[in-house]
Amino acid sequence: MRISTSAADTMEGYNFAYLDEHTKRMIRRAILKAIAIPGYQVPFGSREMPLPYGWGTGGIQVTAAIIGPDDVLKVIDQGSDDTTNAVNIRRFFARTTGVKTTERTGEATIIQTRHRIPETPLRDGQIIVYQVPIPEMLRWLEPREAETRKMHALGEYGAMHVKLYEDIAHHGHIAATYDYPVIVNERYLMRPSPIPKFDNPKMHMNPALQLFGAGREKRIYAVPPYTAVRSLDFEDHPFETQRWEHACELCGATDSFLDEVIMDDRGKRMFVCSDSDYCLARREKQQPAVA
Amino acid sequence: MMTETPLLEIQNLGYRYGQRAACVDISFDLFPGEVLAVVGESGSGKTTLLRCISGQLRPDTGQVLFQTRASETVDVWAISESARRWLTRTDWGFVHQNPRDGLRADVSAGANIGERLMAIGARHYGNIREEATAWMNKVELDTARIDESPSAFSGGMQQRLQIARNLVSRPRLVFMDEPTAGLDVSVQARLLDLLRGLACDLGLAAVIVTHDLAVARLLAHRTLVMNAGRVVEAGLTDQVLDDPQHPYTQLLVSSALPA
Amino acid sequence: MKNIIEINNLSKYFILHTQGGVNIPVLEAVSLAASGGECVAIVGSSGAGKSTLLKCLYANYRAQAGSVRVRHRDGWVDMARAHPREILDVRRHTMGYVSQFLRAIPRVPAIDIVMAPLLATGTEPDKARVMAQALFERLNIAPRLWHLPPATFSGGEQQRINIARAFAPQPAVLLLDEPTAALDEANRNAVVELVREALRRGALLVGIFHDHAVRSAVATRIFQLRPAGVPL
Repeated sequence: MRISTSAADTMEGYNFAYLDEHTKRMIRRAILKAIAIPGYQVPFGSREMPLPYGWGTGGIQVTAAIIGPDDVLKVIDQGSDDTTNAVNIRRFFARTTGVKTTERTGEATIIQTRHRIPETPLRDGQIIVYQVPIPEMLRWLEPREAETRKMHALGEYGAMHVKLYEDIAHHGHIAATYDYPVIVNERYLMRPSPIPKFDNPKMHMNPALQLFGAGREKRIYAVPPYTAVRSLDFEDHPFETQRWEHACELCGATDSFLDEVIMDDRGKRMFVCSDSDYCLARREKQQPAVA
Repeated sequence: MMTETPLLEIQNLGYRYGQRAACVDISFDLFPGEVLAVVGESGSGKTTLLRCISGQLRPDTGQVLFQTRASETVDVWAISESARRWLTRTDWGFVHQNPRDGLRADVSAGANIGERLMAIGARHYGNIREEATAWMNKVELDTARIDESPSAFSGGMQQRLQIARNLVSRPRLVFMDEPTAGLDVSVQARLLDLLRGLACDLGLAAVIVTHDLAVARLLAHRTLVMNAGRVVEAGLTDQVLDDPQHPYTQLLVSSALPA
Repeated sequence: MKNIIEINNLSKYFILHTQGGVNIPVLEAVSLAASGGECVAIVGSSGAGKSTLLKCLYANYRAQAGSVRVRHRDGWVDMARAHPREILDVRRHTMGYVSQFLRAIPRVPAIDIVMAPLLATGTEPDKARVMAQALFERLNIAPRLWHLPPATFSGGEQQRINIARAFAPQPAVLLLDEPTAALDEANRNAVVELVREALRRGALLVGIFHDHAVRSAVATRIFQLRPAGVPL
């Protein structure tokens, strides 16, 4: 099942992509600065959006600032195109811009995401926009904003390993599975937003531009194309991604991030790709042209 | 050995809070391995002095010169903030009166000790843990409790943990602000003995701010007496305590319980 | 023999600011020179300043006038003027002091107290331990006490720990403030033996000995002190 919208149901009375042009320019300036200083959190004047905080207002503002009439938009939440959050945001942009939307990673020029990076490798010219709840990785270590900024300015990140040390001390391995800290371009410590650490290696040297927006916290940051992104670790406890003993029970993929789905009240479970587009595309390839 | 260069040189240091002078024209030297006590009542300016010389509070006047482990003399308030903060994690330690100010309450004892090592680049978990265990031993903490939170420790244990957390980077100079003030007398004695042994074994230099003359007598080679922001008397600790010259020191010594 | 200490016109008074600035003179123009192999017994009535003189020698008290020179590292150090670090160096390498009461850190075992000055001057720990134990045996300190902190010891036991600590590093100058006051006869004799041995190796001892028998057994010279302000 594929959903797509067209300009047919565009709303009247709103500027293109909802935000006014001055606001978009302000956000684009913040984005340009963020691209110039990979991993650095640029403050911006976050606006009230017609969605509550926590629903991706940061990502929406970034997308609104960069989207043009020729763009093709894909929106995913937890890898899926058809969850409430993804559907809402996609419809929001379809109605306020009239741009074409898609579920196919390869067709999209802009992908707004919450919690995942698509399995299909991104390519030159694509932009991925992450929704970020809390951008400051050092917050747990140091509650004072003035002090965390100083730590970023001086590159004082050594103590970040304390968090990983605690994981190993208590669990025997680094137990953090998502929101796993990275160093961008060997300079700034960055919070990758709550993507699984499975996706961390995809950020490294990615051909696509990666933009991060935090609406409530009023921060934008970026990883430009082909930029080094290194996950923190210890020499004797190197960074590792999750692995599954199962293959996807729908498409048979062994290289994708799997969700465990409870099937009924008796606890029957199945493992399926979290990236619904990837899974569907594989199945379509296996049984061509059912439609 | 008498021609050795000082580790720390304080020259004409002054600090004011508005109209009130907290430190006036203070100068002294500290040599490697030397323990110096700064005694005086609350409000005498001793804690302000400690903060000025330990890189926490920029003095209005004067200089703080420190000889780094690379044998390079730096003006603590003229170097970059980054270099100054590096000093505080490597060559220096700071033991707070209240261990809660000097410890991370939400991570384990081992992580508290290991933090400095990680902050200066240690990236081998096994080595960090080994070092943390060794330091727990040195400060007489039960190594079986390495993964416990400091909040599960008694006051004396927290203070020893704070000391281990500071000494793990092998600082050459440790600043201490009333390190024994919040502790029971018997716990104090144990801590003092530990500090003395560590200072001796590691060749540590220390500046200890205390209002307790017994602490000065047990730990310090030399003592400075502060009153109303000025150093009114300085010398060998036993000289200052047994043969005080300045009226204020005489008052201080005669008011103290026998030490 | 060469002089090891030279005291010239030493004056010491105390001004008690807490008591209206009253001036208490204790030593007035005291001079004394002594060389290695001597045991100088300071005598004088109570209040004549015998302990004060020892404390000025050790630089525990500051002199108001005059000089207190001690031969140290091929030179002279004026204990009345020297920098604290120099004074500590003299105490570490040249001069020992047996006070009337043991002042030690709580919790530190007796053997560690006696080993400390040896370790401070670079003696190997094993050798220092053997030396400390030998002194304990000579001073009849029961082995069960060696590894206990002296806080709970009797007065006599504490005094002997004090003596062992001062004698262990074999300093060139030893100051003794009533070293045998709390001791029984057997232990007094042990101390007398230690003093004689120190004299034989060429040390200078300056002491206050209230016990006549001890004094006559060890003193090679009597130095009479009179209370300051009292005419000869």
